[in-house]
Amino acid sequence: MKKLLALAMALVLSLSLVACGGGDSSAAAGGSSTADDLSQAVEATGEKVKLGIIIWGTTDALGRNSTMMVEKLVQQVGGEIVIDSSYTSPETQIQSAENLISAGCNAILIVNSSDTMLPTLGKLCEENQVYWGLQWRDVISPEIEEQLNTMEYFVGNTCEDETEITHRLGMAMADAGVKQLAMVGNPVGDTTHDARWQGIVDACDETEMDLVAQYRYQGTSGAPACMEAVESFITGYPDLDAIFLTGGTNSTLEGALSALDKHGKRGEIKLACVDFIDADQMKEYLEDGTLFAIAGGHYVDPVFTAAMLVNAVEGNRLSDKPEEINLQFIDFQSADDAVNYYDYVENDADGIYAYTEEELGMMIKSINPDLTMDGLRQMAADYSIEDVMERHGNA
Amino acid sequence: MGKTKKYAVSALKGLALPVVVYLIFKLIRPATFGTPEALYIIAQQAMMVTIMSLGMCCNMTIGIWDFSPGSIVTMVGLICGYYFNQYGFWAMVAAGILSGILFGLINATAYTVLRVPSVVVTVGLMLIYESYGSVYKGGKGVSITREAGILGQAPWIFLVTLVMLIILYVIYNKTKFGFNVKAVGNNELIAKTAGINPRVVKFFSFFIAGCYFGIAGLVNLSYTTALSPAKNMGTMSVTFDAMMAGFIAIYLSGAVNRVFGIVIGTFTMKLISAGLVAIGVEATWQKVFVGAFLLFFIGFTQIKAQVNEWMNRIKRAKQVKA
Repeated sequence: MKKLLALAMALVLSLSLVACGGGDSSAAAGGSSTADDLSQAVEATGEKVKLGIIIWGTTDALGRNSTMMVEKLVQQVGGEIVIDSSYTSPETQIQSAENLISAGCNAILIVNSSDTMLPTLGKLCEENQVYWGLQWRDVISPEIEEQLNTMEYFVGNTCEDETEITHRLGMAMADAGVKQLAMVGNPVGDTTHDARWQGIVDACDETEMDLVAQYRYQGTSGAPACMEAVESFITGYPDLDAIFLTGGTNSTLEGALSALDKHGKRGEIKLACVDFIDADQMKEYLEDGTLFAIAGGHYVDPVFTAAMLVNAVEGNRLSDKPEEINLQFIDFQSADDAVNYYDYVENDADGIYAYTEEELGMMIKSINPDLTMDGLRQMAADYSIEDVMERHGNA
Repeated sequence: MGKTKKYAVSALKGLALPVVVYLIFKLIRPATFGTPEALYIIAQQAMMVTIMSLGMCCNMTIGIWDFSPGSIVTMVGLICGYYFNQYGFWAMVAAGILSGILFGLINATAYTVLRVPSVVVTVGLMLIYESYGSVYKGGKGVSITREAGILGQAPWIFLVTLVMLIILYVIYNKTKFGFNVKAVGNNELIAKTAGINPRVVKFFSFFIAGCYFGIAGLVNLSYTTALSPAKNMGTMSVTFDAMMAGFIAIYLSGAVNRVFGIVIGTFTMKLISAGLVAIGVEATWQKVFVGAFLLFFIGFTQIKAQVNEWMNRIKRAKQVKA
């Protein structure tokens, strides 16, 4: 009797698992595409796009809006996205990838925390025949880049020139008379923040600006950690002219501003950073001179790698080798720049973003048969406030 | 030795630690480090961690490892921010106090009901609180006006900390519960035979800790005026800051009361952090120095205690011989 019961239960369990799996793969993801578009997309390979995204989180503006844009893109072909933000280190990002592959993802988009985990991730994806690509990241190590170039399922990456933008901001600060600079950044090993850090170091080497103090977060960044860093600078360097943050998301910029406010240093010590914050605050701080310069707007970056992945999964890979797409940062040095940006490029209140659903569809070959790799690369190269205003009829 | 003189000697012994640390950094950067203005800022920085560490005092005495304080402080901060934006300042204060009580009850109940090691319970709860913080009201983080952050500004931040310090001092040193905490911490089995119920003591110890973390969360938000949810054990660094102060207090307890030792501990740790930045230590080495200091200090205190015991034994042996 017990054996029969066990057999019956095993059967029920197996059937329910099969049912769950089946339901998952056939679930309609919504989206705004027409029925024709959908059927055309699915016809190409018969495989539905299930894109796994490995990202730090989707609660801050950058994580939230970038993921939303990728979801809209994937929905153009009736696909869906699965997000994993459970990782705590570069190594645990591999586990995140395993989870996503187990969940049935046929493509993975990752913001990798370091280069060193990429060969392992690549091997995992090759074994499981899952396409993968990088968002916001360049591969710094030539040896690792060489390995990745031999991998069939690696489609490439989209990145910004992190060193160039921070070098540019650093030179602007030096030109404005900044002599003593302090810098706050993510822990060493975060390739993006390391590149941004280097840009400032280079600017200091080329000018009379001195990097007098530095602070790297231990663990998670956030307002309290950034505030502590800024307060340490204030207590140790009374003649400090400016502070540079290699990243302003996750309330870090607010923490820095709060510290300056609290200790009467607002306006006296200038701030510059990468990553945008909320529109109202940004306008205010640019207008009153608290923020010297800020660069960001790269929330559209993941869309381009996602487009390469969607095309690959659908059997329309745009290139037979991994490709790198470069995106320009948008940098503000005046309140007017911020007004235009928030009116036309990233406006959560009115649901206005850099690319409409129709424009996202044009990045997919099954919808836009004329699409080429160069065409996609050009869309990224053209990205600017003016480009968005022109496309949306606001020029 | 008179009572006053004894207290004065104890206070001097306790204060020797931050004074030595201060002098070291002052010697390296005499012109800029440690100005009164800078010390005032460092003292303000230390207050939130002090309240957290005070909350951990009873648990640490009993030998309970609690890894949830950072996540509670963050979660309470998010709740306070939401209530401020919806209902105003007093709702924020009430939310801080009530949510602290609630988290204290949850922690205490989970520990006493589940009967699993405190490390397991508190790590589990930390993950739950962090995850809940990430989805709470959309997980976007909160910000409050500078005016609303009055409890994070001087003199209020010092007054709140002082009140919390006095309350804990009374609980820890002047009540039956405080003696029970020490008894359970010294030897749970003996405490049991003396009629103390360790489970009840641990329950209230967790509960008191939760209340303190609630106030710390309120002060933290008031101080920073902006807060984002943390995840994947991101709140552990805040917990460790408070824990380190607790360790220093334990090793200073021979000279000063543990409650005052916590204040000295947090101030010393903040002094070291600010000092390392001020003398231009490269960012990656800063935490190495903090860790090395802790190991050196605790190791030195431990060795000193062992040497003292060894000397006493020799003395006693000589006396017996004579």
